[in-house]
Formats: sequence, structure tokens, C-alpha cells
Amino acid sequence: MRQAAARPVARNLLRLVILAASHAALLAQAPPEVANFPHAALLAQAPPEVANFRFTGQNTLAWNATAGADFYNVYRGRAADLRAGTPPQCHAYQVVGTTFTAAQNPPAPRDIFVYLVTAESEAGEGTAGLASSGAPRVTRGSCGPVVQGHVMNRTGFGWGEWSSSRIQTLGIQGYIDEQLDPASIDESDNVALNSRMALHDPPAAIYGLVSRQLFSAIYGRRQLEQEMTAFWANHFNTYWHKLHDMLLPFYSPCSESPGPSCDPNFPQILYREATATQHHETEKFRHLAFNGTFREIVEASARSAAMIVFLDSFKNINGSPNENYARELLELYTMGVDGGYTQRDVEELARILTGWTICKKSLADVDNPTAPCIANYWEPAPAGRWVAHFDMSYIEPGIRRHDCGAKVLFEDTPYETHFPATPCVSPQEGVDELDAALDAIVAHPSTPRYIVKKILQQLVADNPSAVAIDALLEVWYNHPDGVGVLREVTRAALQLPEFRSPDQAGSKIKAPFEQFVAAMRATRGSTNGLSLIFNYLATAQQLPYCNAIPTGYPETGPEWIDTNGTLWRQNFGLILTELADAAFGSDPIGLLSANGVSPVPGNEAAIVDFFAKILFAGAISPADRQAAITFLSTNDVGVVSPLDTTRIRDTVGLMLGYPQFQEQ
Amino acid sequence: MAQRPPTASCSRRSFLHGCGLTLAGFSLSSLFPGAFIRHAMASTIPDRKLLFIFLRGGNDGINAVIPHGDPDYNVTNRPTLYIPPASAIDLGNGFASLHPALAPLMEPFNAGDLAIAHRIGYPDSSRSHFDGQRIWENGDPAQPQLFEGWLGRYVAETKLSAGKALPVITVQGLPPLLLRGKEGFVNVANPNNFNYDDSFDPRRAKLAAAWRGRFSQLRGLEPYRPILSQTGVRLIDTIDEYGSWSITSWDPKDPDSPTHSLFPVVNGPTNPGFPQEALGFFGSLKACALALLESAGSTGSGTRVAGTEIVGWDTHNTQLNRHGELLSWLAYGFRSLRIVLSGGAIDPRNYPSIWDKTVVVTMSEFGRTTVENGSNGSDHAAASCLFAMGGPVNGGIYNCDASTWPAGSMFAVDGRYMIEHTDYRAIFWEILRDHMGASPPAPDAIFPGYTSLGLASQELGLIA
Repeated sequence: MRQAAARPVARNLLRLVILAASHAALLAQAPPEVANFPHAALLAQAPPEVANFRFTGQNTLAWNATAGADFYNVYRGRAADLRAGTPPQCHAYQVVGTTFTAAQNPPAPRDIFVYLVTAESEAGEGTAGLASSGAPRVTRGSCGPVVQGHVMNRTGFGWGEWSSSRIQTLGIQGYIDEQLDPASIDESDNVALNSRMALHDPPAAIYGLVSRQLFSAIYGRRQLEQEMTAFWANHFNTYWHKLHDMLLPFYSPCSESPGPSCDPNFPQILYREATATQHHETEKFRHLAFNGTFREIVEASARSAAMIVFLDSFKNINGSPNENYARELLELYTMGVDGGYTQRDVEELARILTGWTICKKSLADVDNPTAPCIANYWEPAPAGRWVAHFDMSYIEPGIRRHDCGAKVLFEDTPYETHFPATPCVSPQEGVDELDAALDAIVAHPSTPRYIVKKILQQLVADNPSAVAIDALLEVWYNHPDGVGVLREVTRAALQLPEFRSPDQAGSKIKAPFEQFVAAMRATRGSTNGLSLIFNYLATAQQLPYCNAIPTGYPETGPEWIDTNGTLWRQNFGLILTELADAAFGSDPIGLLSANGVSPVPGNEAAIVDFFAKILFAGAISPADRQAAITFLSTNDVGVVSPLDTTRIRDTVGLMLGYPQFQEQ
Repeated sequence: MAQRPPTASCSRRSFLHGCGLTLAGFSLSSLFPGAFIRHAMASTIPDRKLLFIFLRGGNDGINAVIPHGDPDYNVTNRPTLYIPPASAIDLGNGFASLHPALAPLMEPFNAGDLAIAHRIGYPDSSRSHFDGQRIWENGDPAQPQLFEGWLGRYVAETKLSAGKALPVITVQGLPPLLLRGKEGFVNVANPNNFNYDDSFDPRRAKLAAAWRGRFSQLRGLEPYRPILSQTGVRLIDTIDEYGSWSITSWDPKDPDSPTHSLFPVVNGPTNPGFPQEALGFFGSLKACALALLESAGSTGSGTRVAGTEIVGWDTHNTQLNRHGELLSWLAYGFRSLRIVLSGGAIDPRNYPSIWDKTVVVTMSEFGRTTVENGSNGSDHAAASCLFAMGGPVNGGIYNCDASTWPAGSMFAVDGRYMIEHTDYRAIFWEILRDHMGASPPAPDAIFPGYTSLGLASQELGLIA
């Protein structure tokens, strides 16, 4: 390894160059957030440049303690990138002390990293000094805003007015703690959210369901609750259209089949019934995401009418097995494809699942699979809802719908579980048998391992580390509140040092839903849910409730990055900033004015900097910034001319289409 | 007035390929794990083209290409799915017939342009859609979590994309793993609308230039920057090329039925009777065909690989009609491709024939159970059938005759599933080597272990 010799100038900070080598030791816990600012009273301005920045070992950076500093920030970048105009980015935030161990290998061998360090106090962040040219050294964004932006991106849907103000007030730890307790977050005065939700309360059709998810994501303060609700609904993917098709034979127009069960408002009642059932499933996931365990949520899914329909459980009967749900329950929802189950396990589980179907029950009975069904299902709500039903009736003389014989799961493994034959009289036998099967499946060690990895992929990294997985497994098994407590496992992910590391900022990709919502949040976007945004979600292939494939929508970057995806993300940004309707549109001018940035000629840089802060936490290169300023300063054929509000909107559209906005 | 994307209720979505449990590193330096041998397969044969269609869900090969010569194909095993010989199309070798819905395939078959291959798969095949599709697309059953395509490797190894405006195009909801690799490619989800919105002209040029600059100069340590950069630049560079084809004004007609479109995309008199949900497939197939036809000449697109998919083959329930429906789309699509690519369509554009340079091939992650299930459908199984068509193809029936189909074949895997006779890799390597060109040939660079597994001995001689 080479080290550049430090020039013998004591005061000025010099650029240091190393070949990065070994892995950094990972901390067992996130370092506590710096909350006190002991020097606030002493200094009215930010600390000065840090002195004597140097290497003391192969990988250890050190510097002199700086007067007035409460902590230090370390920036890192490739030398080649710096030469090409992309400055170093935040690498470590709030380093307490005056040394830092450089992190692990760069992606390619013989890469050369450049490091900078700054001192920060409550008065602000100090300078990184001057380059040899005499110009101030720049960093690509500043650590504090970058980490805040990262937290907003990962615990929700990106920057928002309420969220950014809240994170300033509470600090990062306080904000995360509050988001993990959604019931404590008051939405009663959230007019933007409540006025829209009231239009779809209850949702009457698929549009209403999708609208509610959009509204919660765009306008809701309980950002993490919405994110995790969508996560579990996607993990246990169901498909509204199939529910609709299943109920179709039960509701026919009076013009075609007059009679007591016909629907004079066809297809409204059909839509309403399918939607009510689907909506109930989502709200159950919303509740359990922060108030339940994995065992409870997988049961909620197994007993969801939407799931029973989606994977053909109602066609799985004694003597004529249908393995669809049994297979996906093991492969996708609990243990994972490499979890160690066999074809025999799929078959035995299918036998266990025989007897489940759906019917309409009174509201008092919706959670009781053995309660009787309503005969007059066509009567208008609130007569009941279509829900799970366990059917032990005869399908042929002497043959019950449920296979009551003995079964075994995980035979010849340490997790072998027997299910003795039952008398075949009461539906409760089948309900209890599924309970026992879910106990065995959730207790199998493959299940938490598979589930925590998915949670980590959602929140932390596309390729979670073994350390992170182990940390969550520890919480899964040993938390005082119980096994697999979803809130606590989620909390553990957000407490990981890996999560808080600025290196994670931008290391994931926004899925299309996340991108469109983030764009709306960043521009005072308005939607009534029924309009253009629905069509864009369809084109971008991510309509909620509309995925026919059991695996749900993917979470990792390469699954979403393609020319088509980039095109529609860019087109969405353009149309969002072009329009200003309440039904669909944005108000970036209002956002500027509300924050003291005048939308007038001469203010190009301030306007661009404002949106760069919102969209990218300021972490764009000088060339990216200048390109937007130039765009704002010139007309459609590139001639410099005074800006107007239309051109401001177009420039925001340009920035929404920057590659960096696809990252989160 | 701004163009709007088409109105949709729940859109049918294409099958996904892998739930991303692990990420096979996308950084430029570490794309290839150790098993791959880096060869420079310097040359392909210029102007050769490949069009693939992935049948996602698991095509029931037994009912598509029916082995009537095997007594295990009977009404006891398939009470509702059995198709008697009288209802099927006799292929003339005393063993195999075609599902009646595949009748349009008899045109290419009788002309010697269609190879019908059965029992294509791989040993120990996966019963999982997601692993199964991934394995068919990544070319290595030993690495079910490898997120890179064999065709993507071929494109990168042979530098097939170099200097071409639009060398590789897929037309489907999400980009297929099959082409994922070091070289990017263009994926188009809506073939009628692949452009920046009209209303932004004349600003459009200013926007595109600004964006191109930002994407091409994108640097930093964020892991997806290389692929984001590449994708954005490619998008901008290819939008104009794609637009120059004017796909919405191209509608080649059937010479045997001149009012009917060969690729029906709207309802009405030009649609020979396909349901609404088929029109998306035909629109995608049309875009693939157009890309290949537009490829010629110095100002052409240079397209050499095109592909799409049909979803919905996972027929666990009431299979008979549904499967027949899907097969009818596939067959009409095949027949249309042959007519259009050989210059036989009624079409004012009069594209010259590229038939002698084109191979069309299907793939599907597995076949379905020999014995039907309790829901009048079938479950995931092992081997299935495959169709390869084109001027360079040696037409005929492969692996579906008395000499290649021993008794018990339909139960030979786990006592339940039809066993493969030819490994899928042997099919595709032969097409790459002998049709597309790979010189010097390096099969292990595309399909790891090809040589050591002796897969060459399974090649069927599909390419003339």
C-alpha cells in the first residue's frame, strides 16, 4: 500500500490518497446519535477547517481536535471520479473523536480513494479547506442532510414537508422511534390526507383501494406504517381481479337473471364486495405490522378470503388435491425455495389445507371460519362480508371435503411434526390442524431466516449482510415481547449500524410506486387517485392489488432498471410538473414561495439548490447542478432568457428525471 | 395535447423471474463468477437473427405435442384433458400429433421450416416457476440464484451490440433475465408508446440533451450508477431509432385472408377473432418482427435479437380450454412471423425476406404432470416441448417417436413426471453456434459445464 507523503505545511489540509485495504470492524450497535451540542453557546459560526489530517496507520485517518467541534464528518470518493467532476460523498457521519478507520475494499482493484474531513457544531459544518487551485473543496452533499434524506427515503417515500420538519425536531433516532409507533402519530389535522381518504371510505372498487394506498404514501405522516403495510401485502401477494372473478357468478344483473339475488346496480355490488374483502386484508396487515407477530400475520394471510381465492385453496379438496397454495406458502411466504421442504411436504400441506373455502358471513362472524354462512349473500351491506370458511361437509357419500387422515410434515428431519387423524366431524378439527401446521412451519429455522432477509432487503440493502441477518434473528427469537414480533424486528433493521451508514444512501433503487409517490411529495403533488397516476402505475407495471404472480413485485434494483422504466419515470416527472390540477398536478412554485425562495429571474441558483436539496439531499455534482441552472436560464432553443414559472416547472421535471432520483 | 398511456384496469403482468433473493453483483468488475471462462468469441455471422418467445408458467407439452404412440397418454390419466387422435392433427410418424389449436403450425411444418422438439429440459429440474425460469434464462442449473442470462453472455462475449443502433430488443413488461449481462439492452413495455411525450416538443430536444449529459456523466460509489448510466444513455439514443419504424402505422395482412391483420392489435374486422387479452401479445410480437425487418442496411437498426413472452401457461385448473386458447395465439403468431419475415405479407412497405437468416424459438420453464390433478388441470412437472422455426431450421419431429420414446417416459421422473431427452442447453448452444455464429466456439463461456457434461452429444441437428 502506498501513502502520499504529507506536505510539510502544518495548517492547510492536504488531500490524502490511499489504497483502501481491509474490512472495517463492524460495530455491534449503531453509535448513539449526537444530541447535545455543548459548544453551542461558545461559537456563532461553524468550526474552522480541520488541521493535520493524515494517516497514522495503513487504514487509519487522524486529525487534530478542532475548537468548537462537536463531531466530524468523513467524505470519500474515487480519485478518478473527482478528476471527472464528481466530488467525494459522505462516508461517515458524526464521528466522535479524532480518528477514523477507513472502510473496506473499493469495487475494483487499484481504485484510489480520496478522503476529506470536516468539523461540525450546532452552528454548522466547517469548511473542507481549499484545493491547490485556491478554490474551496466541495463535497457531493453534506452528511447531515444526506443521512436525513436517506432515513426519509428508507422509512417511507422520501422527502415530505411534514416529515422533514419532524426529523429536524426529533432527530433521526427520535423520528425512527416515532415512526415505529404509528398510533402515536396524530393524523387528525392532516387535511390533505383525510379529505382524500373520505372519498374512498370505504373503498367501493379497485380504484378506491389503490387510491387509499397512494394517499397514505403521499400525504400520510405514518410513512413507515404505510411502507410496511405495502411490504406485507406484497409479500403475501393477492390479486383483486381474481377475487372479483370468483364472486362474479354470485352477482348477476337483473336484466339477465331476474330474481331475488340479482343486482340492480350490477356491477357495483360485485365490486363493492370484492373490494371490501380485499380491503379488510390490507387493514389487517396494517394492524399486525406494528402490533403482531409473524405467526399472526401468516395466519391472517392463510385465512384471508383473498388468498384462499388467489391460490385456489377452495379447489383443494379431499381426494383431489390442488397444491398451488401449499407450495407457495412454503416457497414464497415462509421458508423460501431453499428452505428444506420437499415435494412430500407440499403434498401433505395440501392435504392439511383441504376444506378451506369462502362464503359470506355476518359481521359478527368474519373471523370465525366455523361460523355458518349467510344464505342470502346478495343482501346489501352491512349484512356481512365474504371471508374464509372451513367446510367439513360431505362432497360425496362418506367423503368429507377435508382429508381427515394422519399427516406428517418435515419427515425424517429434526422438525418432523405429526398430525394425527381426526374424527372428521367438526370443522374446528381443520382449523386446529392448520394452526398446528403454521406453528411447525414458522418454528422451522428457515422461516425467520428467509423473512428477516426480505425485511432487510426492503429497508437496508438489496444484498443484506450475514451480520445484519443474525442481528435480526437475535431479536426474532429473544425479544421479551415474544417470538417474531414484527415491530421489533423492523426496529432492529433500522437500528443497524449498516442502516445508519451514509454508504447506504442511494444504494437501493426506488420501485415505480415509490418513485411516483416521492415525486408527488417533493412538488406538492395533488391527486384524486382516479386519474393519470393510476395509468402511469399500470404502464410502469406496479399497480397495487393487480399482480397476478404470487411472488409480488420485486424489491431489488436490477429487477426494475431498464429503458422502459427510465422512460416512464421521466415522462411521469414531465407530466406532473406540466399540470396543476387538483385531480393530478403539482405546485412547485408554491413550495418555493412557502420556503422563501422567490420564483423570479436572477434566482436560478437558489431555485435549483432548493429542489436539489429536496430531491437529492443536495448530493449532486457541480455539473448536475449547473446543467439544471442552464436549463432554467435558457429558452427551448438554448438562448439565455429570463425564466418564468413554466420554465421553473420544466426544470423541476428535468431534475425528477435525473438518474439520481431513481436511487433511494 | 399530451399523449396518455393507455387506460388500464388491473393490467396483466408478465411473469417475474426470480424474487431477487441474492444479487449477483452488477459492478463492472465482478460480473462473472469463477466458473466462466472468458473467451473472445470474436465473430458472429452477420445479419443472423434470433427471436425468442418465453411461455411463462409451464407449457403442458404433453397436450401440445401429443404422444399418442405412448399408451400412458390415455383418458384414465387425463380424464378431462385427453385429446383423442381423431381430434388431433396427425404429424405422420405414427407417434405424435399436434393439439388442434396448433393447426396454423402445419404451414411451416409442411414447408420443412418447423422443428417440433419434445422432452426438452434438464436433469433434476425445478418445480418452482421462479427458479425454473431463472435456470432456463441463466443457462446453469447448478446456479439457480445466478441473475445473468446466457443470451446476455453471448451478446457481451461476441460484442454483438457494437456499432448498432438497436441490436437487442425485448418487448414485455419487465426486462427478462435471459438478456441481463454486461451489455444492456432495450426493453419496451408498450410498443405503441416508447417516446417522450409529444407535448414536450420543441423542448424535447433540450430535455433529451440535458438528460443524456447527466446520465452519461454519472459517477460515484452508489452501486447502481453504472447500470443507470448505461440505461439512460441507451434509452435516449434508441428512442429516435424506434420511432423511425412508425409501428402504429404498420399492419401487414394475411395473404390468405386479406382483411385480417397478421398481428391483430385492435378489435374489429381486422382481428380474426382473438380475444382482447391476446392483442397485447400480438402487439409485442409485431414490434419484435418490425425490429428485425428494420435491421438491414447501414442506416438500419442492426437488430439481431428480439424477444417477448406469453404469460398464463400455469394451468392448475380447468386447463383444457385455456391451454387451447394460448396455443392458438402461439400458432397464429408463428404462422404470421413466417409470412411476414419471408416477405409474403400484404404490406405496402415491402420488406425483403429475412427468412433465411432468422430462427424463432420458444422456451418454457417446465411441462406439466402426466396425470391431471383434481381441478381439471395439471401441476408443475419436468420436460416439455419446444418449437424452433426459420429458414435455417431442419424441420421435423424430434424426440417424439418410437425410437426415442421408451415406455414409461411419462412417469420416469419421481414416478410422476415426463423425463427429458435433450438438455435445453444443447438446443440453444447449437442455435448460437451454427445459426447466430460463434467463432471460435466456446460453449462453456455461455453454458458453464457444457463440455464436461458432454452436452454436445445431445445436439439434435436443428440447424441446417
